[in-house]
Amino acid sequence: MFNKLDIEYDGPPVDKSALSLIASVLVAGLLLAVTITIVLSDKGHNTGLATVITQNIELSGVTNPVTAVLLNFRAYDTLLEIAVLLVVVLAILPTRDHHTPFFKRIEVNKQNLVLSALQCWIAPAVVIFAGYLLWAGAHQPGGAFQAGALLAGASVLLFQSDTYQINYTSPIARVLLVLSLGVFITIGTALIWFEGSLLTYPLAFSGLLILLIETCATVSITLALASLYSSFIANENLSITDNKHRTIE
Amino acid sequence: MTSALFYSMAGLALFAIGFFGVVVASHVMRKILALNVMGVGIFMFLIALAKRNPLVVDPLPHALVLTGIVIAVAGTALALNLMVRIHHIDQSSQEQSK
Amino acid sequence: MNLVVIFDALLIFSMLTLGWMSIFSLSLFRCIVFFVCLGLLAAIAWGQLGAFDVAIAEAAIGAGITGALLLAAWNRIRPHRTKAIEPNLTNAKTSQKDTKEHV
Repeated sequence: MFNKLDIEYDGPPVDKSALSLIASVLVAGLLLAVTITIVLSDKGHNTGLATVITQNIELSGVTNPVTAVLLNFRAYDTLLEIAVLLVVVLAILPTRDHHTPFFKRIEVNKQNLVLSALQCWIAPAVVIFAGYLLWAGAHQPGGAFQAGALLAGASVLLFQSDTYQINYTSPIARVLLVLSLGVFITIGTALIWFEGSLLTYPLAFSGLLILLIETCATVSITLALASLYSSFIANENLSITDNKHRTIE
Repeated sequence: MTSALFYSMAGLALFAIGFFGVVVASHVMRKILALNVMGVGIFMFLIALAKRNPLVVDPLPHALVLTGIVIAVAGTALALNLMVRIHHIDQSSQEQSK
Repeated sequence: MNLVVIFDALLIFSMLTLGWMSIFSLSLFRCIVFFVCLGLLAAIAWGQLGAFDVAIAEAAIGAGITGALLLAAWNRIRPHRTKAIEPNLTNAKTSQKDTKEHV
């Protein structure tokens, strides 16, 4: 079942293997029945950890409980998440190239009017909005991940034309990609000296430290998500040139 | 029966649909989409259970889901890259056999 | 039966339908579009459940970035993709054939 990959995408959507069908229906039905009984047996009086979090919210340095959980109470999760994102980016980075600059703007002759207007007007607005989301994350819904995702969306918009190109293996890009993980680990281990345990912020500076980590995380997440998108485009250009070489030979 | 329970069951149903799709679908891209549908179902289940008490919203599952969304998109990107790579190898080997 | 309950029921029903259609639709392009729709509806559902942080992230990442990734990957693996670049003479023929296959 897993050892073939259909090239025709318009084939039948279902494998005609009855055994896997029956097995999956059975397993999914069993899971569904068990969890539904568990959920129905819950009386709804349990509040989870909400009371603990609201009691300790002053200790975290921010007033938005989700940001407090993400970057203070369970900062370890966020640290590992950023590490996972970095590992994925390392796995799919396009070809190694030290010489082209980090950001390049190429003048293209054929201009798509709608696209260039979108790039001129929407992208700066998205950047401002992402900055607001990052700043508002301390006390309102928002934060580093949302801001990074918005900026990555803006970069996807920029990549729609061939005008803008980013080299993800230039030294600047490397520094920016590992920036958040480096800052996070440095602050976390430095706090062992001052506070006695990993990632325990001092009460006076916690808001500032969280904002610093979030800003670095926004930059790194933006670049990481943008590289995930442009890995498909970069490989495409590469394979086209490969094909040309092949036909010439 | 509150609306949160309603949503949590919908999340479970989405998970079941996704699981069914992962096993049964023929194309690898359909399998990846089914994995993502499974993920949406799990996130929905967690968020609905965070609100099972109608007066209190538990922020801890929200933080977990926020982490999970980013991990899910990273995993999807990796899977899609592998799929494209396999497809190209497949195609070039077919061209060679011709 | 008030309006919010009806809204919830409609939302859940359409999410389940979209979840099914985003896996088992006939063409892969439709699957991807349905999946993006599912992500947007999930953002609405999570706003309904009081998780506004997650709703913002889902609308930006789950619907936006994932949709862009899936479409870029689909563009890489679909057959006859070189024909679409060629000039208009052949384009008329292939486009008719394409619509037959896609729909």
